[in-house]
Amino acid sequence: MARPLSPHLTWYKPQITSVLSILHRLTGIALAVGSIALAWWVVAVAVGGATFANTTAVYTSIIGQIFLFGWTLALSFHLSNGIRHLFWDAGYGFEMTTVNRSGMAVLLMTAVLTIVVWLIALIG
Amino acid sequence: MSDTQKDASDNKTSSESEKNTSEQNKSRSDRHPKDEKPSHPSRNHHGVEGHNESDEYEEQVPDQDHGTQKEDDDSDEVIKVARTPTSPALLSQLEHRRDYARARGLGAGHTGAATWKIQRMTALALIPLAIWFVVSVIRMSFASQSAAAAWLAWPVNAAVMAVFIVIALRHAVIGIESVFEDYVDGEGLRAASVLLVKLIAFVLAVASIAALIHLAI
Ligand code: HEM
Repeated sequence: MARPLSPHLTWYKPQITSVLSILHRLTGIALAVGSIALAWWVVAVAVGGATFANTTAVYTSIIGQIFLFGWTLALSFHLSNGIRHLFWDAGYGFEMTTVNRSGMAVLLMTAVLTIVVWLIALIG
Repeated sequence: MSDTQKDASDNKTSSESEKNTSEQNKSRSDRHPKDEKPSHPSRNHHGVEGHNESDEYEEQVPDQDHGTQKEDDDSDEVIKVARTPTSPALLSQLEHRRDYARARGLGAGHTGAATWKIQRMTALALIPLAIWFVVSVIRMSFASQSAAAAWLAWPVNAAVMAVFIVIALRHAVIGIESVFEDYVDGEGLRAASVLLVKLIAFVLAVASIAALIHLAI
């Protein structure tokens, strides 16, 4: 059955609302793809030997750490904006001023959460 | 109908209908030309209508009966449906069921409210789980194999890790499916893509849980 697909994103002038909405989707996909690599780590620990050595070499490399940082950043954003989504789903926060303000709050929380996660991971 | 009656506006209808009954004994040909005088066209027209309604009502009662009788004879099929012994309530129930069966699995999400709810429940569960997970992975990324194995073998870590993996994959599959629904054209291609994503998620879940069990025993 032919049904119309979503309008494509180039149709809209970027605004904080639309940019965050697209980012929620992109980070969701990035997290899903990235979780393959992270699930692989669990398998590599169990397999051990060269598999684990290679995995660790990748994870501790600069690229590996950038990937981990990126995954943290994506998670922090997706989680913060996800909470915003859950408030909307519960029927709160639809006024335009609130939507814009909660959008700024999401960006702030993303930065704070990313930094806190890395501080806890490296120091704690 | 006299001129004074025509000019009285409010109780005109009642007086006219009284007049009608008295006038009904007269022949119609006598009466109508008189009512349709051109001098007061609108009022006359109104008056005529009143006449006709009351007259035709009595006349059409037998006419209507006759009409129905005619339909009975002419269109058998209409009558057959009306006389089917199936109760109207059952019929409408069956129609609802048929409509529901048709609508089911169509809409944008194909599954609807249940999937929507699962996506929200898994999102809630993932708030603490995902933070725990990412902190753990960053921390353990520099660990030796034996340290990492010992960490994963601890029952609480193993259990939380297994729960995180299953819930995150559930959440991710629903999410990616909804992305495909928006951007993948064609029912077949979309179904194939969704199936592939589910397959990958299933393999990932089985592999990592098998790894956790292997480390635990
Ligand atoms: C490993 C973790 C996660 C992965 C892989 C993931 C993945 C995804 C994906 C692919 C989508 C679909 C995006 C879209 O339809 O636009 C999505 C949607 C969603 N995610 Fe996540 N997510 C994760 C964690 C979280 C967390 C922690 C929350 C916390 C609240 C969350 C809340 C949501 C919500 C509310 C939606 C629905 C958004 C909408 O209705 O458009 N997710 N997620």
